[in-house]
Amino acid sequence: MAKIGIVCDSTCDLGLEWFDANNVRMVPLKVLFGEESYLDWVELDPTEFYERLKVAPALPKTSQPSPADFAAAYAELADAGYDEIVSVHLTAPLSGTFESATLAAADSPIPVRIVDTKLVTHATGLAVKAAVEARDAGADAAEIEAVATRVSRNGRLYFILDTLEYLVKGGRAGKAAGLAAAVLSIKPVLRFNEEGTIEPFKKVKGLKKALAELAAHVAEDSSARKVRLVVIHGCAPELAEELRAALVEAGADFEFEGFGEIGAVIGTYAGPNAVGCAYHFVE
Amino acid sequence: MPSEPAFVSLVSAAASALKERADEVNRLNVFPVPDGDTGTNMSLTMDAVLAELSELPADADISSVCHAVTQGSLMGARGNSGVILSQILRGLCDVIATQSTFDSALVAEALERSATVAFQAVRKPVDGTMLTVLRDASESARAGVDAQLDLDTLLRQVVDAAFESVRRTPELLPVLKENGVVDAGGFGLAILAEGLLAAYDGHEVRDMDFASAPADLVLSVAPENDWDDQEYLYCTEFLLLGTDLDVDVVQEYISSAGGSELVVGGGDTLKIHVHTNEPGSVLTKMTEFGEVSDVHINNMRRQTHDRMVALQAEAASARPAKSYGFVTVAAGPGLKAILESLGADAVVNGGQTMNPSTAELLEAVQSVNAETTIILPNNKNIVMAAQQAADHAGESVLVVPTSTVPEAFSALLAFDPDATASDNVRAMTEAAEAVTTGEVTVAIKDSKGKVGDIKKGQVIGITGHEIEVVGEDVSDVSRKLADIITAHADTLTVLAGEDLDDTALESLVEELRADHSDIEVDAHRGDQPLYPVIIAAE
Repeated sequence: MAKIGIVCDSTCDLGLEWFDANNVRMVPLKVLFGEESYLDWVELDPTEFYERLKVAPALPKTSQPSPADFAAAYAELADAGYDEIVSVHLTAPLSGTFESATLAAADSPIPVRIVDTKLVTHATGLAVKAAVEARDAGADAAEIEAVATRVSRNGRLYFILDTLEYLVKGGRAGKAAGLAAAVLSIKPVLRFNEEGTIEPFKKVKGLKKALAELAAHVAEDSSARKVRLVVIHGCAPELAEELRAALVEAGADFEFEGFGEIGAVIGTYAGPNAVGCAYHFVE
Repeated sequence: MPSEPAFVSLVSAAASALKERADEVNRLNVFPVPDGDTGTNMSLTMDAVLAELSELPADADISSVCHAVTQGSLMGARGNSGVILSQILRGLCDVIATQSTFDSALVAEALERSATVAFQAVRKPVDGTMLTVLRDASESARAGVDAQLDLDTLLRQVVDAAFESVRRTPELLPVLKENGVVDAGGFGLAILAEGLLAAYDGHEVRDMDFASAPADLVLSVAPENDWDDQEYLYCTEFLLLGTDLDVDVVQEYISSAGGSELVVGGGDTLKIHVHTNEPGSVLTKMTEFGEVSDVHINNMRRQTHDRMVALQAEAASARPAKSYGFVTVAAGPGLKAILESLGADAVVNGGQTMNPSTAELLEAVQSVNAETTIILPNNKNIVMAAQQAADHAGESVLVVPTSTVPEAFSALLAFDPDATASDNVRAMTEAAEAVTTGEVTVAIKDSKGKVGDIKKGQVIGITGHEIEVVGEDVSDVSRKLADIITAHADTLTVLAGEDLDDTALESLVEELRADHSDIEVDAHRGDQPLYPVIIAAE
């Protein structure tokens, strides 16, 4: 049977232990505080990142892995005797990571199938997990690619940010950019659309209303189809608990995958106290 | 072929030209992700190339140099633009490494290879980006070879073609045009080419400014962005004709007379360009050296102003009708600012004591230039005028009958640009109905209300068109009114009128937060007249 390697980038936010335990080769993005560069998750975990963010004089920047970084990962797996690779990544419109992987794949010694999840953080993580489950069940590379793609297309990512500042200054706000100009303190519920960019879903005043709107939407989504869900948060466990409670109260019916922390790279754009739901419909 | 160390210094000159202008390139960056780092990324990529080159032994041959450029740029590529740049360099180096003569044919072939490699690297090439600039430069080189241009002329033509192409990028990529910029990556690439050519020719890097107005770009030897310092008013250019003109003496005087000076040519003809406040004195002085001819004096402040006016006029006339527009009514600069920040296109001045006419509303609707315009009257007494304006204007104008300004806030938030007009009116009306507004003002006459006798000058709290609270103090009345309207709410918006100062607002907000610990209180200055406090609960 062909030996299939799974590669992902750090922004699926599954954490180093998970990658080790599940034999997934992770290629990290970088976060730059001024001149200092840190490998996402490897050199900077979410707790350290958010601590730093509080005192940073300027907003951090991020940087995608170079094609050479992916080339090294692919070559490493080829040397280790793998026959094929499925490489699962965050949304291409918001990061050059997909491009770097694609460039590296062209020169890889073994075939690489690249999946653009059109999502980020644990929503991408759900696709990576699905790829691992398929691999462990003995699927071939084409099947693993198909599973990761399907879970991505069935994936949803809704979130509420404490402030839009990080998203707007980082240039990733997409159709939500206009909201930042609003003088009123609006707590919009944002989501990733089919193109893999961010758009406003509901614009409401106040966090409680935003949480309730989000929970009501998940309840509606989960009424017809079964969902597998992660409550994500940017170093805000209490908010995450509050959202989970709101989901239960709204009558959402979901298989709870746990709470998931947002890592440094995604956190650079989400800012502190972000909270949301990453889920996908289970077939 | 330049010798290898010379080749290295050309690359280094290109890199420093880019580094110099990285911030300017960053500012142009709106595509594909407007994160303002294109210049930095391209520059960091070039740094990696230089670092790799510095590792080479002094006697490295051209193929080692090319390999180092390719390797350094690939390993150090930053961002989308950096990755594409690395591919551009790789294509160039592929060809240069294999050749021994550096001539026009080589330049054309290297650029063609570069374009092929770079286009291949990008999944979905987009027109109006650095790829377009590269392709145009490549085509210009091929045309130059066909026209049998010598190497120097051809290189100049290629670089000019690159800048011309940068200038056209807004025509090809709408997001650039919308933002009034040229493509950042393309500009960065042209700067690299210009830096390289300048080092090759041994002249200064030409300073072409794309930061503000691509439409007005002129390619010439003169710097184009030297109005920045605004120190000198007149751009003065002329020819100086004479025999045995001493360039150094002329140069020395010109330098003392102004800025951005250029003295070029030699022998019996000098071309002189200088920015000065005294063009007359300059010309008079020059007649000591020879005859003055072909004089051009331009007032740069007026030019800049005219250009701005022309660009603004062009932008306004070219503006297509938007699909949705909003006309609303309010008094007070703070309320207007909030409404505008939520998407209102026109805020007609008015309110309880000053109802705008149907004609005023119609005029506002026309100024908005939208396919569908929604009017939010924000007062019961203005709903009818709004309805008449809508009836008069036809199907393209609709009314969401808001009776207070805070209702309009929520209505505007509920707007969905992708929904139909009737769905929007429904959703916006529902959102408005979910708001309970309380207004605090002073009684202008004695009267009787459901709360009893009211004397002129007393503070009253109104909600649902009824006086619910009467008292002597704005803060007390506001708090009592808040108790009434927040029964089922989780947010309370507080809008301070022009008669409530910041200190009073702050203490009122503190009291309201203490009274309603489970409610999010959001306070803003509305600076509305007559109502020191407006509160709204949802």
